[in-house]
Amino acid sequence: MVEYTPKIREIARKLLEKGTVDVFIGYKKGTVAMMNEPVLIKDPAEVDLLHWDSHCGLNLCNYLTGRTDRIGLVANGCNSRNIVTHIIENQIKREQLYIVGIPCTGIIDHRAVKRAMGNREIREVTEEAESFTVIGNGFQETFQKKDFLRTNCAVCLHRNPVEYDEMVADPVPEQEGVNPFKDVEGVERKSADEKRQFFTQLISSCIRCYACRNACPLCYCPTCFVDESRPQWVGKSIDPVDTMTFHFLRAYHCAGRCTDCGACERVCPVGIPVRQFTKKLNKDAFELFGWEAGVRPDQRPPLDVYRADDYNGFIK
Amino acid sequence: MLEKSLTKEEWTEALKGLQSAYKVFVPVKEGDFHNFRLLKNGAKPSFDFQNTRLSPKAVIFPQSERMFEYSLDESKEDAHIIKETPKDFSAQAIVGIRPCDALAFQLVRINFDNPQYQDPWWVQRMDATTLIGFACNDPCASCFCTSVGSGPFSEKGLDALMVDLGDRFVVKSLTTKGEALLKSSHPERMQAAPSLSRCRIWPKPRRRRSPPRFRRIISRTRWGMSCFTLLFGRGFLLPASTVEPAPISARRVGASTSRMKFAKRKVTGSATGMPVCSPFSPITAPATIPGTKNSSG
Repeated sequence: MVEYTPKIREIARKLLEKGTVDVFIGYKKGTVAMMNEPVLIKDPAEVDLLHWDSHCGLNLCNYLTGRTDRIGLVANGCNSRNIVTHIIENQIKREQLYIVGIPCTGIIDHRAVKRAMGNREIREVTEEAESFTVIGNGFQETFQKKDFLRTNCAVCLHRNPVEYDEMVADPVPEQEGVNPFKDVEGVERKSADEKRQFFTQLISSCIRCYACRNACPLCYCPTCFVDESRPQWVGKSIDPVDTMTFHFLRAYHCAGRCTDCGACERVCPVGIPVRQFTKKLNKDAFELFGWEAGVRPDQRPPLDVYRADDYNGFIK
Repeated sequence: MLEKSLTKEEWTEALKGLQSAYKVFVPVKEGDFHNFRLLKNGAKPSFDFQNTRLSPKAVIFPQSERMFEYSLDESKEDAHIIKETPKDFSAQAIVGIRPCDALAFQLVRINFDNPQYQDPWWVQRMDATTLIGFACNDPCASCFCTSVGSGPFSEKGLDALMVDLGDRFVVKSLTTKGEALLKSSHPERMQAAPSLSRCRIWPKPRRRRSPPRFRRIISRTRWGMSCFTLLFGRGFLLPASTVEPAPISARRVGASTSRMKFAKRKVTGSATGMPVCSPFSPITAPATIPGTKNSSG
């Protein structure tokens, strides 16, 4: 995907010079290997900072919330779905946005790459078409990208953006025959005790840093429930009950809104597979309401709709 | 100063031997990362890391800990009395701490152990802890220890420093605490660690001593000797090296007392239903206290 970079810079320069947008939001190459950073550019002379490759794992939609200026930004499949969610939830207006669509072939799991390299420190990762090369002190190895995709990218069904003003390249073929909920089905088969054990083990290393919340574009509440002290909804300690309450409540706040972009998992400093909490709710939203978050800009999400003919008796 | 050269297997065995005298915290590989864990049955120390995911800060200063306890059971004599939770301040050792993390404890000390304020729990835990550093042979490209007063082989804040030589570790003691640990870690001579009260803590405790010249003059005259011994005790004229520092419990008694004074204050209900402290009345707690789990823990 590194070949998209010149085109992104060209579009950004055009937009800023013409004054179509006030700011362009994209990624720049990070100082640490495999860690690209979000960048907000207002000066056309700085567009050469922009970069795109298979390490753009953070969700840029975080930077849209509540903005009043005109914004250009790059968006792949999941990011564009988050933009749609933001528009539906009145956090931004479509007219403010110029969306540069990226046909995405998946983001590389940096932890999987580090695992493959053992204790050897990675200094640089360069990307070719379908492969990438890891360079360190005295070693250089090439891997196939498809073997190192993030778990959410490996089962992604929306690689192309659902909403855009201009594409940087032709759409890529969508994946077929993948089951995005295979791991959830595995958890569903467990007994109640096994599930408790599974989730307790899952969050045992959580340090309550809230990186998952901060990276999530859905978590834009002015005051998060975990930061409230009057009333205090949830304990702030690393007691398993407090930690589990935080993770479950956060997941429920994302029900029917999560696009499985994987930002939460990527930023977790202790490597908790946070998506295990949100994916079950994605599955429920899909199976019970036929709803995929951020795919339909013209429909209200199932959890904020009232229908007189609702099939559930309790709603009447 | 004591230096030891041990193969990695000998070192692992020596750490097991230390368990009789210390709670030993070592780096353990868990999934993708290394973290400091208490060495006990099953925990395998692993020194094959660049940096641990988290520093061992929590060994001295836990992220959350139980401070006070009380009982709501009216049949008990001490119902509603808030008491300080008993704590374990027995000797412990952090083996394999990076020099940067060790220096960080000295930065925390600025707030927790200064002339105005000594946090009793932090100070007692710190005094009971021996830090065995692990020099960085291959620091990360993103490390910045040399910019903040530390370094890959820095000895600041450490009681001993170990260096990986490939097939073996060389361990050098830097303080009496470190020396005591190394002596007790010798695989052939397993012995309990000496009382920590006899060990010099880091930084070196201040000793009251008279100006050398003045001391020399008065010690030469019998009159001077009798007079000063009567007034100040024999220890005043002894060489400073023979004056032993007081045991930890005695040195920190003032700080502990201040904590207990707080515990003796009355707890009354506030407008928000949360207990507040009033220094004017005897201690009682409201019959129901919101957030029982947190109140007791």
